Amino acid sequence: MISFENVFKAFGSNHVLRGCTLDVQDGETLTVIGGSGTGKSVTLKLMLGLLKPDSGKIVVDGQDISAMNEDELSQVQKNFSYVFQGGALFDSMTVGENVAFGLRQLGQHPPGDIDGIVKEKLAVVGLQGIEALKPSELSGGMRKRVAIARSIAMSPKYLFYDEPTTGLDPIMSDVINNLIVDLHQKLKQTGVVITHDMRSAYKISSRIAMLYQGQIVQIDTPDNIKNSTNPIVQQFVTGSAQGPIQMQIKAYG
Amino acid sequence: MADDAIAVSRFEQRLLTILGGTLISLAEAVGKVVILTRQTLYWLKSAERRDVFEQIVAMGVDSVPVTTLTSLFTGMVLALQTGFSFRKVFNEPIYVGTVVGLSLVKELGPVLTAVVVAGRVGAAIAAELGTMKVTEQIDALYTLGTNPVKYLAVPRFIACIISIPLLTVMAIFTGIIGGLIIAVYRLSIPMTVYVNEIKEIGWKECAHGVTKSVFFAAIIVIVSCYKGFTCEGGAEGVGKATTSAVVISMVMVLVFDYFLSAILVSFGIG
Repeated sequence: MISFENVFKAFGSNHVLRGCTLDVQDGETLTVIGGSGTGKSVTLKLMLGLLKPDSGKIVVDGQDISAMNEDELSQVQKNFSYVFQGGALFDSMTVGENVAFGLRQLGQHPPGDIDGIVKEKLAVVGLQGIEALKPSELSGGMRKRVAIARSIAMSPKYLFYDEPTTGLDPIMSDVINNLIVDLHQKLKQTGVVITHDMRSAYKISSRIAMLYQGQIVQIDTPDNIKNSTNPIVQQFVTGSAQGPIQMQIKAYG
Repeated sequence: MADDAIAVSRFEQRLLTILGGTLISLAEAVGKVVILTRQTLYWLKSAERRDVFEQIVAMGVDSVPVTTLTSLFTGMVLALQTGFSFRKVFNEPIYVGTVVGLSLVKELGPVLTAVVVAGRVGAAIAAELGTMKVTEQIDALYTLGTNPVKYLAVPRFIACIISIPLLTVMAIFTGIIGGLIIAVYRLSIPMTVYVNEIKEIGWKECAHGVTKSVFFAAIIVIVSCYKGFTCEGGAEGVGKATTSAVVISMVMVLVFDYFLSAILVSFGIG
């Protein structure tokens, strides 16, 4: 279980999280929704220990990771895997080397077995026989799927997705959504997804949490979020320009 | 009067803000460089030989042509200028071998090699690591159980520490050959005279030059890795990081050259 307890995080004068409290239950897929720049990615990076909170606790399986040194943190991070928004594939390596990278670094598998695991994980995401290609030769959807294959190869307890459907066409988005749901059912991992794609959020989530002005305003099942009476949540899920959320539109010139 | 007082205090406030801000960011940068150096030295033993070898090829072997060409012509021009200047003063081109040899061994060899390598290798390191940073590949390393300093900085550090002194020795040798060509064929100095003068250069002078090149290598690789790891803001950020890595490395090499020379001379080396 991952818990955020009254977490604050600011970058200079930009106060991104202002007392954020959130629980991720074991085995669920929790989706964090919110407008652009509300701190969804920051929340995820805090969970992973890539950023440190200014105050508050981030507890993973009973251990406060915000107070850990690098060595202790790297032990906890072995339970995590992260699918980056742009894939973050290593462009100097082939697809096969990318998927094998984490396995080779961990050194838990005999080198002879790694090729087999890479093939198997690429097959899980529907991409057989592309081990020798470079990331620059792949489409956006394929990159995301390779990134997912690289993450699940590590057999993590927690799998994090940063906007998995952003920048993809609706059909490819649905392919990725189905993949996330399938993986969750097969591997029984705990998933945390951040997105502003509501179709995706409804399809893949056990629960949805809405982040607004640095705090969680509602956390509930997809159906309850869809029918929420909270005006902030209602405006966001219906995608209306009218409501309490006022987007800042700056005019230049 | 009151307005004046407010105006002065506002000016002072702005001045302090600017100076203070610059000082804080400078102190932060120095602190981060020290941490990066400490981490690099800490992970030194864990480097993979294959990665180090790849970097030695990319940094050292591929820098051979440019270093050779630069030092050859530097040796040639040094012999030419020394020969003509001494001919004006002493009516004959004396001490050409001594001047060319000592200048190259103690100063020009290490400094020129470091400047050329800073331009070639420093830029490559900063651009590669900077691109990895802005495309989240550095964060991806963390999430795949790999420390980026251990995986990226350490092999580059070891490769630079090995290849830059070797390139320096090669540059000195090539420069001396360049000087010899001009001394013999342009200034009509007997080859034995030039060679005997070169032979008089002792191990202390050589140690002076090579020791400095090791420090220059460390400066180039640490500055370039730091600039790459702290790069922000897309393609523009990578460009800025690359430029500043090269400029800072070159300036630091030249500044540290003086202090290192002074320290080494005070210890009787060179």
